[in-house]
This record gives sequence, C-alpha cells and structure tokens, in this order.
Amino acid sequence: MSAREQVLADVRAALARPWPAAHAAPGPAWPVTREAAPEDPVAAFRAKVEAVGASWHAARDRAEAAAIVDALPLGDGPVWVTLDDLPLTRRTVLRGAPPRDAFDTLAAAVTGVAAGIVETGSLALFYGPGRGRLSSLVVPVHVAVVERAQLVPTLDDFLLRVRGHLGPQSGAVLVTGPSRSADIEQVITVGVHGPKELHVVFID
Amino acid sequence: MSGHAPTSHRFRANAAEALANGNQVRVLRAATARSVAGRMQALSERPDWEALRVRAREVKREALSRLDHYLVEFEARVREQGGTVAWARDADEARRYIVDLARARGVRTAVKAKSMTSEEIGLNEAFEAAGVTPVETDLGEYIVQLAGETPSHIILPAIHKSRGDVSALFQRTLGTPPTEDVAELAGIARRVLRERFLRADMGVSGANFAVAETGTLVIVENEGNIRFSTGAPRVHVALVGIEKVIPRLADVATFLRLLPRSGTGQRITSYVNFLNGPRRAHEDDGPEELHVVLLDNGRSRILADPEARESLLCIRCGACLNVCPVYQRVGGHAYGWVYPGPLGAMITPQYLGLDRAPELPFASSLCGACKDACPVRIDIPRVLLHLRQTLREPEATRTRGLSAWAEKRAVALAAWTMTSPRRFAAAGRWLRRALRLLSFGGAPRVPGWSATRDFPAPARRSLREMLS
Repeated sequence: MSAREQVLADVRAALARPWPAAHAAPGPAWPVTREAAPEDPVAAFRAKVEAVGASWHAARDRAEAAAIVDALPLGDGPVWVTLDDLPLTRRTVLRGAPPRDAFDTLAAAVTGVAAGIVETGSLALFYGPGRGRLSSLVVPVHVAVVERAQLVPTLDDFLLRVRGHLGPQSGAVLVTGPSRSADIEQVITVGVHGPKELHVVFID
Repeated sequence: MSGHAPTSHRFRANAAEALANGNQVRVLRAATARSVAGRMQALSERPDWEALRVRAREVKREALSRLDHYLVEFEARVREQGGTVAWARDADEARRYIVDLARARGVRTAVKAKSMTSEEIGLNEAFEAAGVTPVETDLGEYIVQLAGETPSHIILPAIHKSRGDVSALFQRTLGTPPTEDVAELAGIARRVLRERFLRADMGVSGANFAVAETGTLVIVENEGNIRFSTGAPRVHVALVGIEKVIPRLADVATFLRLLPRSGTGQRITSYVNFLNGPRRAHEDDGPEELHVVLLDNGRSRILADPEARESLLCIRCGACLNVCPVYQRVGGHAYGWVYPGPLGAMITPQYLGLDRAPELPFASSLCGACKDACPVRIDIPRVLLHLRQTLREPEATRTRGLSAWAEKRAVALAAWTMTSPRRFAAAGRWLRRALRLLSFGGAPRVPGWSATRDFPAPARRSLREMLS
C-alpha cells in the first residue's frame, strides 16, 4: 500500500468514529455584527496604513505620483519599477528582473497593487508577468501606488478577487506595513528581511 | 532542533530547574504579560470576536470531518498547477523524501522558514547528516540555532534571551562587535541571512492553512523571511500536517481575523502569503518546483480518538501559551519537546505516547485560561482530563492487589466514621490533635503539598464545639 493510500485509509477509519455528542451540538449563536461600511473608505484606509508605520502621500494623477516618488529621500541606487506609465525623471529606472548581485544596489521598488483592503490597511500584490515576488521584498524602500478604484472594503472582498487569479498565476501576497520582528525582547524592529519603509502613494 | 531527544517524561524536574532561574522567570513573565495585553487590545476591536471563534471552530470541524475528501481535492489542485504532492505516514518517510529530493537536486544550503512541523520530524539533523546545511531564517529561530538550543515558544522562539545574550552570541559566532541596540542586532541578521537566501538551493516552509478548493498554501509572517525562503530558491518544499487543510479560500478571512490577534496582538501580520504552485512559464521569479509533503505522523491516530480529536483544530497561534499560568513561569523547554504550553501538554503525550510524557497531562491546574483564549475554542482542559483518565485507567479499574484492597478498606473506614455524628466529631478531635502535634508549633507539614504551599493550621476548637 502506498503512503498515500495508507494515510487516506487511516483517516477514513478514524472518521468512522463519530464526534462525541457534546461536540456535535452547534456552538452558541453569537451575534455577527456587520461592521458598518466606513463613511470615508479613503480616510479609514489611510488610518490603518499609517497605524502600521507606513507613510501616506496623496496625489491627483500619475504625474503627481511620479513627482512624489522623485522627491522621496532614497539612496543613490536605481529604482526597480514594475508599474507602467510612471514618468520618473530623477532616478535610474530598472525594469524586468535585475540580476541578484544587483539587489544590494537598489534604492527602492515602485509597484502598483491589485487591491487595497480598507479593513486592514493592506496592499494586495498579485504575482504575474513583470510583477515578480522579489521586487517588493529585497529593497530597503517599497513604494506602492494605489488608486481609489482599487480599494475594497474587507478581506472577504480581497479573497473573492484573488480566487480567480490563483491558478493562472503562482500566487499573491498581502502587504501591511514594513517588515518587522519582535523576536529580541519583544522590541519591535523594522526591516528585518523585507523593506524597512513602506510608502503608499494614493491617487484619488 | 529535535535532534535533542525529548525530555517530556521529566516535566516536573525540568519545571523545577526552570523555576530556579529567576532571571528567565522574570523575562518570561514580562513577555507573556505583554502578549496577553496585546491580544486583549486587538480582539476588543472586533465586536464579533465570539462569533468568529464559533465560525472558525465550525470550519475546522468540517474540514476534519471530511478530511480524506479535502486532502484529495487539495492534492488535485496542487498537481494541476504543476506542484508535486508527497504523502508521509511518519517522520521518517517525510525526512527521507525531503533529503532524497535535496540530494537529487544538488542542494547544498536549505533556508528554512519557521516550521514547527520540520522540528517535529527532526529535519535539520537529517539535512546535516546528508551534508546539506539548514539555515533558520526567522530571527528568533536563527538566534536559537546559532546558540545550539531549542526554541522555547512557538511564536517567539528566543523569548528567553535578552539583547545582551544575543549580542554576546553574535560576537561569538559571527565575530560582530557588541551592541545593545536591537535594531543593530536585527541589521546584522538581515545582512548575514540575505546572502543565504539568495544563494540557497532549497527553501523549506510549513503552512498555516492548505486550501482544498484552490490548492493554495497560506502562510503568515512579519519579517519577510517566508517570502524569501519560498520565493528565491529554485525548489520550495512545504511540509504540512494533514490537519492544516481547510475547505474554501473564503474561510481564510475568518482565520486571518483571529490568528494574528491571538498570537501577536496584531490586526494582521505584515505579510500573508498565498502560494499556488511553482512559477509559471511567463513569470520572472519564483521556485521552479513546489513539493508539498502531507504529513500524518500520528495525526490520524489522534483523529481516531473522538475525545482527543479536537486537538487537531489547533491553528498554532500561541495564545494558550501566553495565558497559561504554568507556561508563564516555567517556559517552553520544560515541556521537553517541540510544542510547549497547554498545546504541548495536550498533544505531546498523543504524539510521543502517554508513557513517554505521563506528567504532561498533569502540567495544568485546569484553570481554563487556555480554553478561553483559544481562537478555535478547543476545550484543552477537557482533553487533558481525558488523557489523565486514560493514564490512570489501569489503576482505577484494578480490583485486585494491595492498593485496591487498601483503598477499599480506607473507603469502608471513612464511611463507618462519617455515618455517625459521635464518631465524626471524635475523629475530628483526634485529627486536629495529631496535626497540632506534628506541626511542632508551626504550620502543619504535609508531604508534597508543603513544598510549595502552606497547610492551614488546625483550630483549637471546631465550629461544632463552639456552637454546642
């Protein structure tokens, strides 16, 4: 019998015994209070984004967004951009996938998002052609350009959206704030493996 | 990590040693208090907290109730997307699969995301024996690995180490200058581990959830080491206990609302990974191969015990550890194996065998704090009681032998004494007299009890005597 057959057989045999009667009863019916949709989703999103230590910048269009990025105090190196139509002028722009030994030279990554989730202040990044896993991870600064139309209220909405994406593509990540750790004396320190800084440039 | 043989059989001795280390007790009390406060703060944001807990338990129960069906569905989805699924009946089979794969792919270094399951099967030792270097990448696990120790908490593995300890450790093993600055210490780890991530040939992770409907692995983290370990090397191995399977992607929302709040007091972790197979042909990066190893290793045996089955509902959040008055004082190493705290007391005897961890079901005052804190409402005290009953059953049902005879006689004597008010009062007088004599003027000394508690001093006159 293969391991697969054995494991499945063991599971089926185990499940032949029913749950104890006490467990089978449904749990207490606690009220599910639906959170009222926030009156101002942008303000709610901004509050959650800033609460986790990300920086918020407002822009009216792509051109203004590019100007904001140009003005950020970044290091000298090139900027890895995975977002189209962003007229950056100040910095060397790298597109596609730079070689790994160039990673340490990068000053920042500028990406778009697939969605912004108001409930948690999260950015959804869907992996795909031109939108790799490593671009927003290996850099010290991640700049995410978010448009109002991309905001969704809850995690449930995000999961509905990502469901169609997972399959054709290999995955997605929900990013909320910079990389952090509290492993040493529970003191929060940022930028442990991922970016130290996260900037959200919001185009309204 | 679990190349250190389990010491679960000597929990009481371990606990006594841990309590003697005053500094560690202080560090642990402070850390768990912070975690508890963080959790209370975070859950107060959700007025539907209890409804979430009920729903989460229902989802996990549903998943377990049709586990074979969901495992098969999960496997089909993963394979459709170009991933490989391997099944492992036990730790040995899982180790062999992963090590053989590493050999076949010429792996020299394997970066590891935090995975309790990989410690359960002793993967690091197996790697080392095969000439593969395992590198822990979670900051706490990395520290513990450098120190040659085992983690003492499933969420904060190095909770028992101060910044001074870490600085000294880095000085000794990495040759870096001493520093008391936590950000600098983290920066050292970031630099060193960055190199390892980018050069590693294999990444090993666990998974918080394995979604059957879509074949997705969901993994939460704060540092980014899991994004790195699963994204940079060309082979990704995910070692997943069979009880991690949940039915639908939509279910993940409920768990994402519960797990970070319960474990670290966060609204959500910095990163939540959704991994669906290896990289696609048109993608720029990602692993070329994804291998999911579905691990039984005793889980189907736990499933077969209806009274213990709910042990498998656990989502490994760590909340029960932080609220447990026992864990808060003795720490994780006392439990002697991979899983500490109430979780460890509940599952270690089931994985290793009751005979190898007979003290663990008793490592609890049954206060129920863990049950209140558990996001999936596992009745841990009830399972512990069940384990105690199972342990004591041979004794309890024994009808022959000296102790059975003595117990019968003692019960008969007590019954005879208590069925007469005169005899009861007389027995009381003699007992109080004897206790006063044995106290030598101080508090009565009762074997075992008096080592850690005072026994109340008997009154000169009983209430009965005062009232008559």
